Amino acid sequence: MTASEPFNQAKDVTPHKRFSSGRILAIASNTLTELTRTKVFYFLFIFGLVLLGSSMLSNNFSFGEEFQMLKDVALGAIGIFSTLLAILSTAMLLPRDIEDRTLYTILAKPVPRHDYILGKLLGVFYLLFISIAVMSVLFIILLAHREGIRIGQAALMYENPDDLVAAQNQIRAAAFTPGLWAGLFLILLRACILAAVTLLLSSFATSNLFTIVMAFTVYLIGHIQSIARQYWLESGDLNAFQKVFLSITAIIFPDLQMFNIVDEVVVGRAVPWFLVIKVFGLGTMYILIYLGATLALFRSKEL
Amino acid sequence: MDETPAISLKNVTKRFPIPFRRKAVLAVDNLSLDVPVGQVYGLLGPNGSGKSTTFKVALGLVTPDSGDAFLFGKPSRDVASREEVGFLPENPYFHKFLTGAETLRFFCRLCGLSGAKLTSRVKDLLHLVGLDYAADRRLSGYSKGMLQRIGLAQALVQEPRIVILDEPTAGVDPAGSREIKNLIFQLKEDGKTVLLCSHLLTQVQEVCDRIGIMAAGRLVEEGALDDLIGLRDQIEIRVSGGQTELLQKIEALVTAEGGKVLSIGRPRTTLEDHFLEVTGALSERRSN
Amino acid sequence: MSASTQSCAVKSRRRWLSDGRVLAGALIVIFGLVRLPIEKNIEGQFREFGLRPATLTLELRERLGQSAFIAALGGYRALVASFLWITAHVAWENTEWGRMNHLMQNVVALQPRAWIYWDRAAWHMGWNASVWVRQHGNFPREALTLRAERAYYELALDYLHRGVRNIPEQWELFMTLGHLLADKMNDPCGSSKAYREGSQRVGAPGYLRRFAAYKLAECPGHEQEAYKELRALYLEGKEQRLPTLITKLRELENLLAIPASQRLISPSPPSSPENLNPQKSENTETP
Ligand SMILES: Nc1ncnc2c1ncn2[C@@H]1O[C@H](COP(=O)(O)OP(=O)(O)OP(=O)(O)O)[C@@H](O)[C@H]1O
Ligand SMILES: [Mg+2]
Repeated sequence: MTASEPFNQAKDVTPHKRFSSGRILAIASNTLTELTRTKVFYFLFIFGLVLLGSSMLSNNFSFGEEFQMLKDVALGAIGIFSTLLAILSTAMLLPRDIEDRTLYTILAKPVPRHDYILGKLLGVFYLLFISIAVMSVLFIILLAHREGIRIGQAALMYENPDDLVAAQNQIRAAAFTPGLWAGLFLILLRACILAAVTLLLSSFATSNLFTIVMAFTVYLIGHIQSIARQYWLESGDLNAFQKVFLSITAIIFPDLQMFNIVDEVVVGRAVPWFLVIKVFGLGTMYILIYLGATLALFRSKEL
Repeated sequence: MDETPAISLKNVTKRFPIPFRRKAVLAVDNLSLDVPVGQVYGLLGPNGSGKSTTFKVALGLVTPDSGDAFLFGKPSRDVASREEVGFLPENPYFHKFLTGAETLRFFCRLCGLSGAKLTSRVKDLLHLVGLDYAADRRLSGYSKGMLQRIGLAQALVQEPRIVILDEPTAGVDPAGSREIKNLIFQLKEDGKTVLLCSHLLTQVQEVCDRIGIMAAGRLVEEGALDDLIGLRDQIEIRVSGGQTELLQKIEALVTAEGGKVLSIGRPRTTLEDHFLEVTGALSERRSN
Repeated sequence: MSASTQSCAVKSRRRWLSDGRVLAGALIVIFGLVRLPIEKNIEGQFREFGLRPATLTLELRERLGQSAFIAALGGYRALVASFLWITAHVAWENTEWGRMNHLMQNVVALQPRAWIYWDRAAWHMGWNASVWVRQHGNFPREALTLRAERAYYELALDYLHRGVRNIPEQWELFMTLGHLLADKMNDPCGSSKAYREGSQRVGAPGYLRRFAAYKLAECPGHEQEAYKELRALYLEGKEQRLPTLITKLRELENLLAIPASQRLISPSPPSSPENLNPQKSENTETP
């Protein structure tokens, strides 16, 4: 330590900001680095293998079946991976910083706790966005490739130009439809909500295992409850206890079915834009509320 | 002192509850403490006496059950008060997945630095703590002392007016702890306020202006170093090239003046000096 | 977190309010109440735009088994359907027709809006299974073979009828229905009706209109009507004057004894090679 360094340069005094995008981004990108260096992105290889496996079956099927299965498998896998990623990578973020006491060094800087939490969550969102974007691009490239092959095959089968156009249109209609964009976007939104839920759980959980188990429970109940409700309501005879139970569940647990349109967009359903925006608004509200609850807990948390 | 103290703790009490029991550990007990601006203050005390907890209260990392903490008169629980302070925690841990340079860059960004200023600051700090050679290595491969150095660099990122160091020389080699000692002198020269604790009493004695001694969460003694341990009625003389004759003359002179020679002996060089002499060449080689 | 467990000088009411847990819980509960009407509204619009399945029945749960049912509810309905479809495909390769039908029934119950499943299920039953029982059924009497064939035709018909009910806008299902009725069930009238329905759907290929007319010509009592249609098609332009159409038209002109002056086509067959080689896409088109 060469103590020759002058320390008496004039320091430009800037007033402290309660929210600083610079700080939040610093923590977010640090979180992304953290997750990247734990090698989470290896799962993308598994996704690639899944795609490859499903396209290897393709020659046994008609184009309609092939595209249907490719879309089902790809979007299903994107859904599963994004869920796993959101829950597993978020669950350990806070506990690790607290256990390693890295949090002390960060909070000893002029970093408000809300900036820290916001940065962490943003880092996970960033990770989820990159992962889902990469998976989507891989999927779309493969689908376009197979579509090209099938259209080429059709050209050999039809001589009448009208019929050929009809057949090729049929192939195109069975391949990519714009509704898939909406489906993928809502997968991302759902993953972000799950990350926010997991962060909330981890802010009071006593162990990582608890956080992860609880997060998956929320995921499952979040998907099933609306169907269960509808099912029970249709079956008619609900007793008072069941009614109370159902309403409590509906109030406490998120309705994740709101963000699940995959099963319908893979069969070519179109999704109107205003509806996507509405659901996006709802998802943003979910995230903000969970974030608020996390901050409320974390603000008074003894480190 | 009429000036607002750099650090001020007023009747701070902190208990840590023991999980699943009704009892709580009393970590800090009604402690009041002022560190004047520009002084180096050393907090001493046995393990578990509450030194680290006191620091955390001063920094606003731990909320006291009662009492208040202030940095330059600003309450510590306000985040803004942390603009002025750099903290080296005990056994500092950083994100292991970052390199030394990345770690400092991260902390610079947290303090609002960016661009060319950030780059040069990171470089200066790495040089300051003697880690230029390991700048691009991951912290997972750092030794304890290297981590300590990064921790120190990190504490100085935003050129704070207060520096709080929890056992700054723990795990650092003698050359390093001498450098840290020099650094503390430098900080003092620049008018910074330093609050530190250490179990190495000789070092504390060398650098500190004021000392506080804690035991069981209480501040049991406090004062300027000279007031606490200065022996006002004794003087030490060291002579080189002296023969027995000269010594006898001195002894006679002292007795004649009414004094008394307490000890005569051959002083040893300190182990520290010797160690530094032996390892100096090697250390130099490593740094290049 | 546990600040509330310690004895503090703060009044208990204020401590209670400032406790993060209370605030967090309140946020979630209040939001839960606020969002219920919003979610109901969105759910309604999902239904309106066909983004919700017909309700998953208890029967399906019994069929699928607990875990697949949960997966289907947990947002992986399409994925489960795909896996079952592959399993059905394996059953096909092993010619286990009963098992195959069972699996395909599950698939269409899971994904009732995927036309491809209805269509292929009908094709497997109406064409593959029925042909297989004729070749490998080893029934002692022809009547039994016919009955077995008939049973598969009925299954195929059932798939297509249900498919059409679920996805009325898909022309492909009508076309397959037309093929089934014409080629397998000897019902040109029904077939013509199916083709016509299909031809009116968005994106339907032009040949469905011709198919409808051809089959109408075979439907007893509708010859006059069919003739009018074919004539109209012929007059539409060159692209409609395909060999099959010309042949049919001539047949009808002869059958209905149309006076030569009104005929579109000369009574003797023209010796153009085109006529002798009917277009592939016209005649070899299989569902
Ligand atoms: N987070 C915590 N939870 C529970 N007890 C704690 C916590 N932090 C400190 N304590 C207790 O408070 C007391 C004081 O601890 P502190 O770390 O302040 O001591 P110290 O003087 O820094 O000791 P050392 O010299 O070993 O660093 C100890 O009895 C310790 O067990
Ligand atoms: Mg300590």
